[in-house]
Amino acid sequence: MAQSDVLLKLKGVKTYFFTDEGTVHAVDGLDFQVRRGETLGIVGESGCGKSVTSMSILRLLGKTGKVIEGEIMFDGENLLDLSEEEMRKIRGNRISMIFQQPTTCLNPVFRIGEQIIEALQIHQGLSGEEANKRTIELLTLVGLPDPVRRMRSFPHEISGGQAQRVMIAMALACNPELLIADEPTTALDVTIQAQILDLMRELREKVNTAIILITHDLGVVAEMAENVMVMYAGRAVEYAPVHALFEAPKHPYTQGLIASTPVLGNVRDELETIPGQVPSLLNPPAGCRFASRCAHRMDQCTQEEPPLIKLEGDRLVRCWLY
Amino acid sequence: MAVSTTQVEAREAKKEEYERPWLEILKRFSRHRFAVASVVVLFVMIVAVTFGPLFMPFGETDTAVTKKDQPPGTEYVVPKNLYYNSIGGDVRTAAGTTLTFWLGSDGIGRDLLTRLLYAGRVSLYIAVAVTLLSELIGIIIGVISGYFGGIVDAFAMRFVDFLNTLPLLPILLIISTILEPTVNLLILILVFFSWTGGARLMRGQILSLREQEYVSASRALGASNLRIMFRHLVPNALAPNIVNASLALSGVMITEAALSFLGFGVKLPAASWGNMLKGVNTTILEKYTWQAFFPGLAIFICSLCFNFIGDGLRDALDPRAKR
Repeated sequence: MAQSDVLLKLKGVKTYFFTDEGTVHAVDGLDFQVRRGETLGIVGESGCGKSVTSMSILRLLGKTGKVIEGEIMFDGENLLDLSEEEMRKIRGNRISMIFQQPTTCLNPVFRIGEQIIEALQIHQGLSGEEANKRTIELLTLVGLPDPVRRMRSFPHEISGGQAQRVMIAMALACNPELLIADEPTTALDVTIQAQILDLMRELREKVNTAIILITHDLGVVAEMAENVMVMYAGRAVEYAPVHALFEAPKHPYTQGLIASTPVLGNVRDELETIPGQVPSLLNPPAGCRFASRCAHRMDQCTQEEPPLIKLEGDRLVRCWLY
Repeated sequence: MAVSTTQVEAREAKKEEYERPWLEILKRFSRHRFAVASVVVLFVMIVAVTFGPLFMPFGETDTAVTKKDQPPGTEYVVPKNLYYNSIGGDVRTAAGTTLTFWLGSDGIGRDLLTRLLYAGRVSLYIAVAVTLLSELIGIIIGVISGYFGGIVDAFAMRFVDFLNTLPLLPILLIISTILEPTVNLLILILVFFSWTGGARLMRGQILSLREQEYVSASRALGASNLRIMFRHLVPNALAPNIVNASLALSGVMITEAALSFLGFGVKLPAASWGNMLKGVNTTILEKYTWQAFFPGLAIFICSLCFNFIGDGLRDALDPRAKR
């Protein structure tokens, strides 16, 4: 793997939120990398730090959150060292993001065309006829029917699926090198989900963008990603190529996640669950963070946190079992 | 060919649908009868005070010494030598012409209708200028305060609180003894005391709007704070301020009237609706009622119109408040 091949590399990133109740260790030492054109899936249950990871990359943590340690290398540059001004030039331009709720991410008082044009205006200084042309191109690219007319619609006049297409068009407006998709299909109904996933797959081939796909839906990951990182309580617990992960999940948490996915046509009275809940990130327990819920718990687990152990086939797992 | 015509028709119909937001606001506004009537009345008044003085045979400060305190409809034949005593009068009428004081004359023989029209210019100008400026300042400070929060917000809002605790009239009277009041100075001073309402309204709107997802989305798109504040948030938060402005117009007009009545404000001999009421006492009210009635009526009608329009705008801009 050549060095220039790596687009994004996180090294020991710790993002803490300083709240009135104490310090929330939302992301607590995270390492991973994304190669150019690769699709990395990040899965995990609610509150495990998936979204905080993406917000850390874009440096949009708000007032209370801060990356206190580590580095986020993007194309050889540490994003954490950049000024706000330089960071703004990267957002929406080289790294862009699509969100969970497409309809609320569009400003209700502007026509959708104007909002896409804004992205072009900020980063490429396009305006007028040129911007219009590019917008129509983008809307055609994301498969919105009758783009010339749709440009003049207001956000409340289009459906959720169409809104997500618009968001994707906005995100792709400046041909980003990295696209962060934070639960892009969660708010959509199943048939639309499939359409949006198809679209993203198609676009990935057309524009060759690296994608970080954040989701709690293992089905989406299986369909889209090449590599998967499983997160638990602010840390990566397993990293593997997608097929290997589904064939033989190594970490007990991953095994639990996969077992608790409902299978169509396989009627059972009760779904498999992982007992217990995610530990408080205010005061993470010593040792392995999954220990309290783990069926394979050993004494060692509650005393010392396991390192990421390298296994065969380019995979990593954070568990004392291996 | 037939196909293309129907396509064109369909496109035209669509086009209309796209313009809908404004159309709909207009439609809802027009449902408010009093508001529509107020717009018409105000329009007539504005045209009258703007162009009316050009057609009046009297100047703003022209006095007819022999015709003090005349009731409405009194006729006046311009005398030969000194047709009327002109204090810098700007209209010259040939001797022997018969003029009419349609609304009567005041205590020193000036035509009331003429003064009423000139006064309307000043009063409406002050009302509009003060309202626009104070809304503008209020919006800017409100947006900054609500968007950044923290110390900026605390400082701005405590300053707003401070201004609101000051008693306006006594302070203005003190200022008037120190400074020579002109119309523009009066505007600036009124603005200084009246931007706070707009600022609070805007801040409240921004506080809830800044948590909206489209704000994070545009930030993720690389938008700067300025762009987010003024391009994304302000248009979404503007409706209450528009309503507030239309209601504030009548407030400013009445404040101006009160100030001019008290002696601060528009200085004689220039006329404003407020200072035309200056010196009104029981004698005038009993014997020369028209001298107080017409300026008072003008203030009353204007502020009523502003209030109705504000009401109509509120219904039109806030579709949730359906009756």
